Amino acid sequence: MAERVRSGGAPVASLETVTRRRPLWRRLLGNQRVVAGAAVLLATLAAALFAGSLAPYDPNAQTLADRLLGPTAAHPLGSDQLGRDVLSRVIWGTRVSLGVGFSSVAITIVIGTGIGVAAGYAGGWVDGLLMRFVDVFLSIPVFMLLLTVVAIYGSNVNLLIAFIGISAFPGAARIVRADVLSLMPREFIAAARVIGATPARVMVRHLLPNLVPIIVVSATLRVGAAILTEAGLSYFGLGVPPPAPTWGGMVADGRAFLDVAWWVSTFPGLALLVVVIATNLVGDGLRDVFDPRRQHLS
Amino acid sequence: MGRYIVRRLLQMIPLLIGVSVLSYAIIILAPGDPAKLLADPEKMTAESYVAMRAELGLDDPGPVRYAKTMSSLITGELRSFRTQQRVVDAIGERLPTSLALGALAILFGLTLGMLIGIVQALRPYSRVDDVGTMLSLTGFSIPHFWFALMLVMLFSVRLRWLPSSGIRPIGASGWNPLEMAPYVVLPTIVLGTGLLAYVARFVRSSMLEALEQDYTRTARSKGLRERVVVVRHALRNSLLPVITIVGFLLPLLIGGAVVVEYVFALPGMGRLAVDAVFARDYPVILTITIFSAIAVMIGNLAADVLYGVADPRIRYG
Repeated sequence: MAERVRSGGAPVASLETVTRRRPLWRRLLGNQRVVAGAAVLLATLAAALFAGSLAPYDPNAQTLADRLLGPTAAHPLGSDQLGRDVLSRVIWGTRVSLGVGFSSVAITIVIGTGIGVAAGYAGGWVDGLLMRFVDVFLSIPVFMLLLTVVAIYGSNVNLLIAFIGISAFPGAARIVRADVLSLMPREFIAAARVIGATPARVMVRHLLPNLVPIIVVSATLRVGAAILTEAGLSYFGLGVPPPAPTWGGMVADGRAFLDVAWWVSTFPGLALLVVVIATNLVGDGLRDVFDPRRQHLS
Repeated sequence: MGRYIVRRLLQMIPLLIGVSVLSYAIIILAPGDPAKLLADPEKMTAESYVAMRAELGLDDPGPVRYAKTMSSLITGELRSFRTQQRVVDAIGERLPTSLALGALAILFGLTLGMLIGIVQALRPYSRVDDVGTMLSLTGFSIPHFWFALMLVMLFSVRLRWLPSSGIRPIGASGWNPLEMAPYVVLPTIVLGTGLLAYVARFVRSSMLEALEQDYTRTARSKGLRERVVVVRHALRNSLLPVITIVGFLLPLLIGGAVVVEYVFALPGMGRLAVDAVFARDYPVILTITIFSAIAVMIGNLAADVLYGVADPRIRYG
């Protein structure tokens, strides 16, 4: 235990000299987690974009004679209880997962940043009121609320994205507010106000650019959670309605066949796991790149 | 400290009102008519429909309905639409299962998570550390429902070691730990894994920090054995904050319990919630939501208080 213990990704001593001067893209490419995670995400994105030409079969084509076939050359990941090709469905499933994951996080970030900046900038009773509102949302177990809301209001893709996006805003609002509070006493904010910048200008031109790192990191870490939430809802039959291929729905399809057809549930879940790990890797890596000292900002 | 706790408890009241208004609004704005869902379509006449609506209080304006519902919730008279059972009783029947499962999951996640985190911190940037990091990354990336099915497939379907659903053998009743043990193994693992991942990560970084502190150096330079330095000085100080994260991870645990109890068909609150959602049993949904919110708030308060007990430097203002 004699060697110096390092607290982040980079050695402490080189923080100032190396990390500060290298351009951002070099630092990103120099981070193994970012590179590994981004590679997987890009591959998944490609699968989503080119699903039509990559998938060997129509994801919804039922061939009842080929039900529950194990992995073979014709069906590399086997076929499901309706004779649909699992590989093709996994490939098409990327669309729902990535689509819902990224779009809902965009909503989370817009709402969260808006509330966080407003609360942190205004302070006083505005801050108190907004944060109590956030606390209310934070104390409700989100997944249960989502089950209820989706069961009641139905689940077309747009609603689903909106619900998942809104459900995650409190965490984002809190993180952004904390950062705004730490920026407010800084001189450049005072300077901007002194020369007569309007509150809107201070928020957009002076605060927002400084919030970019924290927003990017927290957004990335949230994508994985959003993808898991969508898959969980689909598992309960409350996600994007069938026959659209969703990973959560496919895992649920395989429930009844665990003894005779392990592949039906296994592969879509594995795809889910890999994609979520990839987004979390990128998020962790970005956190190291932007601020090696700050931990736990999820 | 007593004052602090009282103040925090009082602060919960407006929050709970917020939670109840929000959940009530979501439910009351729902399309569809509970009276139609509940009535037997073959026997339903215009009169019985009107009577049903009146009985459920569906004709009053929103705020009145809210006030009536909340007062019957508080007095314990609120009844399930579906079974007519008092919601408090339904929850009372299910609560022990959920509490037991939650306690086991916390125990599992905390012990194993701390162990992994400590081992990692003692050998930072080694192979062991990397394995631990990968493990915790997988732990909070893995979907509960899929993890549960995979475990069932391996341990119940293939190896036939453990049962795949239920909490006790068919025909058995009561709380016989020996009978129930095989039934809770898989649910505990699934529910505890997320917690394990957070704890491992947290302990690793707080332990690394403690090992860099002056008091650790002092302990070493006094010539204490490495074991004593690590366990008595670094470990003790770095485990403190773990208390708080368990408090804050309670919502995660409750959300996880919904999925785990559903997959393993355990008769707990999560299962009750799912059944209620599918049946649009609004009184049950509402009560469970408020109940969980109370649990979350108490969890946070308990974490803050325990933290103060463990660390005398913390002052409550």
